[in-house]
Amino acid sequence: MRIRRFFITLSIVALLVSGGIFSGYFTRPAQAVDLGDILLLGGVVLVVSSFGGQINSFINDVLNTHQAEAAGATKVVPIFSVGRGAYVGAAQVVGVPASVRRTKGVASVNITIGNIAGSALVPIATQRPSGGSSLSTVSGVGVSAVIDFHL
Amino acid sequence: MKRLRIVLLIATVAGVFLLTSTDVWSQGGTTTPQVTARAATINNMPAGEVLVGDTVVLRIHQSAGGYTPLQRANIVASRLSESFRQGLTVNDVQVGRLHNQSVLMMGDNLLITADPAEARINNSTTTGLAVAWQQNMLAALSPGTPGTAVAGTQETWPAWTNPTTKVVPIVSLGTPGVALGFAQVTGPTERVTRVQSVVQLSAVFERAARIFAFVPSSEAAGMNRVQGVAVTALLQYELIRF
Repeated sequence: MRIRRFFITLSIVALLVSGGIFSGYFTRPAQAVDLGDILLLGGVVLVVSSFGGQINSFINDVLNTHQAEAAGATKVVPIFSVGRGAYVGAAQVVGVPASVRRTKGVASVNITIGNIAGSALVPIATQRPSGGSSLSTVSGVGVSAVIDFHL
Repeated sequence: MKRLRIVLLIATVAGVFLLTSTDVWSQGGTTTPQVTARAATINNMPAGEVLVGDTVVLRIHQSAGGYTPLQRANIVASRLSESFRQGLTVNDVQVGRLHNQSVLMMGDNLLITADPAEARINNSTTTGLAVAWQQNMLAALSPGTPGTAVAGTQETWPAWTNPTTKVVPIVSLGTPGVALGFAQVTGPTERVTRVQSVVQLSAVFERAARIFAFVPSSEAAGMNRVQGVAVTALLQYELIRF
């Protein structure tokens, strides 16, 4: 009698455990590759090429909520720090559509005015400045937002 | 019997005439504006147009809510017609805000939402686009009222033909009076001179990126965007690590 009760209990436990495992297996939500993963694997350029459109729409929605959206065309591009020789973030650029389409990146050049240090943000027609002293700048385009990935 | 038939016939004709004439008089001589929608092709892309009479008052380029541009145009035309049937006039067409979006209303009836994508296509803001649509309706229904030739001409993004620069403080909406740093803004001279500050807004995207949006403002502490001007340099206190 006790053996029979033991087996019944064991069967119920086994059923519950296996049910839990299988239900978990089949109903587990799909794990999407998120922005953090892509940032670790491919860096800023890959994040911008993968999520640039979404980030651009997100920024425009935030500005729209505050009734402060820009009337020009917008786009998200990587920021390349000339001083560090590396991509350090991304920027939303704004301007007339033709110029924004030409913009492929923003060059960050360190500047110091008095005791305050900062960066000049220069929209350029390449993702990173080519060798030499000149930047392939795009006129008529400015920066509307800066995206910092150091969270 | 024959006389009775003649009397009944005369009475019927008189009744029909009376009803018809009453209907005409009840409209006070004004007819409901004819509102239609039609398909169009703009830059090889399908679009929908809403017309009042022969005048296009509103053009839709984007699909939204599962509706094509033409379907959206049909919905707007139907709402507009229904509003006219309710006795509303063009003076009841107003630009407003609904669920944090710029909308075109007629009385209490929603006509259309000026969504950001549509505004960008028109090189305008959502509010600017809604105002342009309102102006177009006024022009179509009130002869003599100037309309906007291009939707969103309230404040557009100009080409920087003769740009100038200026350095202004960066302020936060949450902490007015506290400068977070300074920004150099660039744009056409007449617009740059209007800029008093750059308002910084921050938001987090997908828990992986912090976004700092910079809005050139004509107010020292408040936010009133000056279109056509953008930031070209940031001087901040270690806020963003470049």
